[in-house]
Amino acid sequence: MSSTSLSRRARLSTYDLAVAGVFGALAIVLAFTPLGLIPVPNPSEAATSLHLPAIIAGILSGPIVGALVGLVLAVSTWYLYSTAFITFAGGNLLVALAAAFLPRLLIGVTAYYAFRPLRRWPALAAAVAALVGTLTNTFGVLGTLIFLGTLPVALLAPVFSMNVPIEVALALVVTIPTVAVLRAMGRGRVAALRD
Amino acid sequence: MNLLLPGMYFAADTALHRLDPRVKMGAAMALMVLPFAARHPIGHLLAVGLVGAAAVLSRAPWRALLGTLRTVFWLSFFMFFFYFFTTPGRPLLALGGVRVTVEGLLAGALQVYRLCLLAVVAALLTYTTSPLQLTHGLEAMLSPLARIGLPVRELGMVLTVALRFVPTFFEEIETISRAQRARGVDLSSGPPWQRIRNTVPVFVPLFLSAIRRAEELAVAMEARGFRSQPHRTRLYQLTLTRADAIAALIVLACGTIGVLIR
Repeated sequence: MSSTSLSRRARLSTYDLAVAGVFGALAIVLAFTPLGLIPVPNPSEAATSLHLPAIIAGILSGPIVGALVGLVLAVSTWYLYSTAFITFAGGNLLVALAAAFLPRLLIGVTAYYAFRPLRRWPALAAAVAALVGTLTNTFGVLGTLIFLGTLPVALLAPVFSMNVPIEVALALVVTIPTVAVLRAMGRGRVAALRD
Repeated sequence: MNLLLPGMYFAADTALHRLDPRVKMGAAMALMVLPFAARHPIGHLLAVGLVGAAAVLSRAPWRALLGTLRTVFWLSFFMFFFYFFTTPGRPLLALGGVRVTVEGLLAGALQVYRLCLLAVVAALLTYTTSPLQLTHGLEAMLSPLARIGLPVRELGMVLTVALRFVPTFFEEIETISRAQRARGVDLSSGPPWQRIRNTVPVFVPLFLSAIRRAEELAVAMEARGFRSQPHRTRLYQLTLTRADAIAALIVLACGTIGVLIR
């Protein structure tokens, strides 16, 4: 794309920043509207789709852009749920910030690196990236709280067993067709497909 | 489609609105930690007093402020009963095999008080600080991390672009959802697998539209001379005033006393 060539010397091109901003906007919209939460009958009442923009942005423009979208997602969920994070972290602000930000930062990064080795088989690569990105989000947030010792493991078993399959299924059915369309746009324009 | 906002910014010219976003964000963080770190009732009184004073200064509508407590109702309910039934201590009541204790009641009440205070602090910050100011404040607070190579300036730009496109995508999601509903896609009923499959005709066009918009935006930005380089200047600079220093000192002093007093 011609616009990228204008600022190739920079670490991130203008196009990369635009992708991060636009997909960040999608992450915010999904965090603030009912569409981001798919109503399903389980203890938490909803499966989240907030991680999807970070997965797609990571595949489209690389790990740094994926991390930036994850950061926007983390900021918007912190805006909404900081109360819950701080309470679950027992008032430890650093633990709450780590649980809210680190896993979200890594969604796009892990999705990109899961996709890269399998790029010759794009449908399989998309499925693995969707799986890895989703698990980074779900296990990352709750796992950080457990690992840092502020949440008991037993409390989370129902959430893991019911939310994880639904969120993984959602990521799979959305990521695979989206990657198919990205391929049609041309391999050179998708970071994870470039040789 | 409804926005699920717990506390939306409202434009006004109060002392709290005029404070620097960095000071407000720092103070909010301190006030969120204080109810957990305080060990003496004076510490809790200081936290409640500061939040109460900020609420009065903000001139936020009381009904809206109390309405934010609804967002933590279920979490408070869950936390109260979790601590109520699991804290050991002097027995208060025994029903069958379940024993509740005085300590459990106090621990549950303490959790509810903390949650309510956190919700009001978060709401006060967002009531009195516009999303763009929050973005500038966040970028300024994270700026030391730029020295170790983290893309902090890029993050500021990305957040600004994201905020600009939120209304656009909000509208776009509505348009795509309506178009798919008109074609017979049911987004809100049926078994879980069916619901998940039905989101595909909304998400895939949404992502493709996002890519198209990103391409157009990149061309428009570069046509206007934007370059992704480290030394950009700002139209609006954040400057600390005397009022900011006084507010920061008050919160710092109350926070220190609240934590140290045992």
